Amino acid sequence: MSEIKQNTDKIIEISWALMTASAQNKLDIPGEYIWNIPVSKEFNEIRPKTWSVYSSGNCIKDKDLIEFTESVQLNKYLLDPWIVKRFEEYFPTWFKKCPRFQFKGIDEFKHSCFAQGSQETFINFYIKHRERRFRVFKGEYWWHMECWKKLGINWAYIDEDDIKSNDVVILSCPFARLGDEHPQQKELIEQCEKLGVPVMLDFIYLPNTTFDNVQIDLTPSCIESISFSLSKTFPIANARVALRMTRKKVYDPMQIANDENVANRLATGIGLECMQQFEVDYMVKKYQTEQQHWCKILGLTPTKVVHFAEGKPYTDIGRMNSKRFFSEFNDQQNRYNLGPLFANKNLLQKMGYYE
Amino acid sequence: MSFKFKFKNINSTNNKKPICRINLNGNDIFSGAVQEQIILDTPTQDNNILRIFFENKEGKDTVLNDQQQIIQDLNFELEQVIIDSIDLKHLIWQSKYVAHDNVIDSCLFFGPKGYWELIFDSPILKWFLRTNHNKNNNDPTWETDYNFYEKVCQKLNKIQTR
Repeated sequence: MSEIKQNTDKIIEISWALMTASAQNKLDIPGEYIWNIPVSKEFNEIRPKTWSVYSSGNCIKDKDLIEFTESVQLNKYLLDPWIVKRFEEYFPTWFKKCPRFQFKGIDEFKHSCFAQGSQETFINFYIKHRERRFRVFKGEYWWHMECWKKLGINWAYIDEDDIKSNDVVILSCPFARLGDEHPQQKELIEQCEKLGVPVMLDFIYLPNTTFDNVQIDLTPSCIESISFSLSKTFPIANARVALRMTRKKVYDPMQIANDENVANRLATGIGLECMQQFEVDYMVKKYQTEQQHWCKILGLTPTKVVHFAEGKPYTDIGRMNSKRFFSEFNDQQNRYNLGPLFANKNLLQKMGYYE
Repeated sequence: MSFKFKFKNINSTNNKKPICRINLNGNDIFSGAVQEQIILDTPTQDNNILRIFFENKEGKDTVLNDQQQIIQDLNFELEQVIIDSIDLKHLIWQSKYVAHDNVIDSCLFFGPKGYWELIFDSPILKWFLRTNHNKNNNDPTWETDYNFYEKVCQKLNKIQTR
């Protein structure tokens, strides 16, 4: 099999096209984060923004979904005391509807708790296990390491030391850097099971996976909690809509707030409406051929997450000048987010980049 | 091409204000009292010589005390030059001041009668990036990035605003 030749020049040129178009208000779908929006048309303003065009993990800004979310009347949920409960009950049902996902042992995770984004789940996990040492693979979501470093929490990469009984593990599945299962996932969970080390599995990218058949074994008792989110599935990341499922009810700040019935009703409302309107693998069905198309054009390798591709870093500047996109722990330079290309297909066609 | 000049520390003597004349490629494009900001619009060439002449300085405009210290002087300083929205920033120092037979490199102070001179190319952005890299050796990808920028700007110019 011949090696795929990466078209780095084209990758860079498209990053310039998108950021210059953003500055000129010509994107099909405008950017949503200020770190990726040039505030003027000047070269020196646009240039650093081109370095991070493909770097985020963010959701595809699907036009139909955006139109739908804009049509949702959210205010009615403010006074709806049942909306959070309905969201928590519907989420697992919605997820299980997709025949490609098979979770062995998920029925043991009886306790669902709305979270304001996966980050709230993570924070509560940090609090619960604050006496332990946190462990992650290199390339895991950098936010963990950044928080641990800033807060002085004990942690180490998994390849730096053996798993010990006082450790606690967080693992994204599919793995954040690879967009696929981490090759040591099975072995790691076996070790944790043997040592009684608690594990949290982060399924944030799971809805966007292109696997024909996903079989996830949740029976090892070390898997204490599983985290889902709609942030990478639907363009509602800034509504912070996520869910934690646990075997045992966890009495942490997040759960206590939910029990008090003061959780965010607007977030659960928009989340529930999106789930009722769109299937779990809506993005996969809509964009898998686009992923293949762009990978072919750019010489990248499709990952198992529909909006990601893998390749060599397209710019050294942003990566090497200690500007590792918010964090020194951001090791995801080989992962390309193709979402901006999907979302701006019309523009890129007009500019001659979509062959 | 648009030019914006910013001046500071504009000092008058005996009700006499400093007057400058701005000349581009041998053509005068401004003449008058030095102001904090002078904005001009004029065509350029591929290679350009920009000069700002200190027109009205005379020996009597420098007033000394008994200890031969300057107590009053007609002078001003160039603070900033922006050409086609490109702030030349530190490259403003890639210039010289010529006063009689004296050539002073990197001088933005208009003290003696003479002129400040900057040689630059158009397009100004390309000149800025190249000159900056030649001076500081810190931007090896300037040319490829410049070419991408120019290329996509041309393509986008053909597309209507959303």
